[in-house]
Amino acid sequence: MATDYNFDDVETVKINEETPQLCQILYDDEYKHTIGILLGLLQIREYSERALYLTEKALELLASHYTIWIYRYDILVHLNKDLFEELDWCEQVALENEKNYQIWNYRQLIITRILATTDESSKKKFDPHREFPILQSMLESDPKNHHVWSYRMWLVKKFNLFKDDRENEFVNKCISADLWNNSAWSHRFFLKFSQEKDIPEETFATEKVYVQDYIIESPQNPSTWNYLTGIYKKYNKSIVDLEDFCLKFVDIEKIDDPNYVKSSFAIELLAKIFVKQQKNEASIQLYDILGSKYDPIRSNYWDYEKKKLISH
Amino acid sequence: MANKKDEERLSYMLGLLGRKRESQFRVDPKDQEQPGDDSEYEDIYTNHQKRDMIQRIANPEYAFNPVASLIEDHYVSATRNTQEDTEMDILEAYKENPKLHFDRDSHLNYIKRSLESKLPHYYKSLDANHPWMMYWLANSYSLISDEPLFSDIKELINDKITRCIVRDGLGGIAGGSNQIGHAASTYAGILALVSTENYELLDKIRPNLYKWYMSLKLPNGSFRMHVNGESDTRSTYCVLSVAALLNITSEELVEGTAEWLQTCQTYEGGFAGVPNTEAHGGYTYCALASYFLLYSHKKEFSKENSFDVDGLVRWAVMRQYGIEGGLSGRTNKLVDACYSFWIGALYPLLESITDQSDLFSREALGHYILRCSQSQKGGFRDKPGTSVDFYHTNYTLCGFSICESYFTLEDKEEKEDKEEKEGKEEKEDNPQKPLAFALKYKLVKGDISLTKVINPVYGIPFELAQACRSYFITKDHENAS
Repeated sequence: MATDYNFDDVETVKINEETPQLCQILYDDEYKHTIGILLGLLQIREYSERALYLTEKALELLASHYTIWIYRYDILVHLNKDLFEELDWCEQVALENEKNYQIWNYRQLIITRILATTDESSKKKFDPHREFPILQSMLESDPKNHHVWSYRMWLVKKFNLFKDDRENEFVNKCISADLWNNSAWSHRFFLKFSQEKDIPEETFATEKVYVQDYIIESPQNPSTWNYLTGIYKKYNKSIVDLEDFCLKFVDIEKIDDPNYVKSSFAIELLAKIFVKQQKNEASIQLYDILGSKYDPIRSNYWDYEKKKLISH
Repeated sequence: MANKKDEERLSYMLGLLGRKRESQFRVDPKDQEQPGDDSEYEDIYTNHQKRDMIQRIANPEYAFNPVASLIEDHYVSATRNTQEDTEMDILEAYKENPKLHFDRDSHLNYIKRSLESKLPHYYKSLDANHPWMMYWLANSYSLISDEPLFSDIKELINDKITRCIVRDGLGGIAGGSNQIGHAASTYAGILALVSTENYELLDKIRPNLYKWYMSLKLPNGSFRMHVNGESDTRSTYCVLSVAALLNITSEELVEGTAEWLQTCQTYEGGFAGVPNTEAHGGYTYCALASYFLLYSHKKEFSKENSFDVDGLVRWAVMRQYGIEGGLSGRTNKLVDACYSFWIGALYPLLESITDQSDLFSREALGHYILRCSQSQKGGFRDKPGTSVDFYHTNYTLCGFSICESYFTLEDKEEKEDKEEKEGKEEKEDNPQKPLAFALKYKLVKGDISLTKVINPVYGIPFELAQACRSYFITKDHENAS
């Protein structure tokens, strides 16, 4: 890498060094020097190779410095740089700064620009699958990284990967590796149900079976119950259908004995089903036992649900 | 399947990550540790250990004691294991800290020390967060001190924020001097200036901020953080909250915003930052607080195109855990004291909508804050085993304040009817007064509290938010007449 750029002519700016100053950071010399020059270059809007080089150095020192990302993007555009190389470089930075989120917005900017500046026939056409390895490694390391999942959502939407085999296989694997990974379930919901027009009726049936099998495997998992009730709401189906399924996890006759209760979420859903069946008394009993026995931390909430029934 | 080149890249990348720490799970379930006889035994053993510990630390005088679930689910995974470990750490903390005390002097010392002493070089990680540091620390101080901020400290806060203001506000407020304006830095900077009651400076920049905000507005109704920046419920809240404080909200500014927010509510009931991602505590706070800035009548929550209040209530109350007492930010994630505010503030807002005084357990959250998050040396931490920091100290104190107060919404229609009969008109605020400024509070314990009451839409003392808006309302009235 070139290190022979000369910055002697640049007027460096102060980076919060004035004294007295609250929360004064004792910057190391390298940081103070690099950022001082870079922000100096930014002030005179210099879009040059040496400025580009310096943004890289600066981001190595502090990847969460959003100003540098904004500046770097402008430099790339002005110098008409190869944006695919930029994506490769970005991956390194992402891997070294797992918690950083500026980079994922930056990556969206770069890809959006690639799409705007290349056409269908171009050799440099962007293939969204090139993103899969980096996303996979990031999510293997932190399976609930919110920013990475959000970026994945953006990618799927942008390139219509809803029915992509690799995408669907990936989310299946994430779920089977950890049924309690709610980020994976959220992404699945997005893949299956977010396209307003094109959701076939059979998806409801297959997803219902899919999630019910996993509820049976781990009945006290909130992620799967949320998914199940989520699809009922999405399709406007009556939850009364789920009565028998819920009764697999709770024996109403012996509800006082924890040996006969496998899921508090089944009790909650039964309480809602009973309301639909105009069995308010039965519903109130279930809310009572949630509050007193199976979910006491939320006793105020169960009381509130009860109160709604009494006042109506 | 992935091609060879992809596989090479993947293994190279995993190698890079592996240098730093072990991968938490393999996507291929074959590689994952299967629950065999040993872990089955371990599971029973820890459960026994846990119950034993819970019994030993229980104090009959307390309104909250950790409770283990009576329902057993023996499924084992990475999520279950980290949750299990965290519960044990937290029970350990409850055992070590049996008393409920609030160490105000240590916290005040921690805050002063943090403001005034020089921070070691690794604090450069906060170099794009200077206004945030001012807000977190000044606000923490305001919440627990009987004295106002010292005038020299106030002056230095003003100096620092002034150096971050870009072109008198036309470019917003930046994360540090000579950086680019950012809507979240602007939010933090403005709250810091509200803490120092520097209305003169606020007045000077507010017309320019309005122009800057209009330049960040997107056709879908949301706002960007900065030029070419992300737009989500967070950036949107940052804009709306400042606009209401400075009385620069206009119809044009908020056109389409409520409709856009509604698309961010997920199937779980909480809100995501953008449509179709996972419901999350921070983004949900920003969304609900935004509604309190956009709506001026309670009945607007029952409009057909508003969000699903019941769904949000359910998601919000599910964030509290029975052993920890504290709050988590997402389904199946761990508790973290910062959610004492991001999730904690949802409760009083939802309580004010539903006319229910207690939707969650204030006692349980109070125990988590005082016994697990509080450090005896001053400051608050995420959870036992982590270190205190400015961010957690501020949001934990905000959360603690929520445990000490109840909020209701004044019934505007009723009030207007009454005033009409009495021949009065509301003069103190404009007719589109946002609900954020129609909140009323009372203390849980009658007349005592350890912290000042906050405005849950802002996370600053209630009176400070009110004073700032009133100042600009009056000023704009005078200018108009």
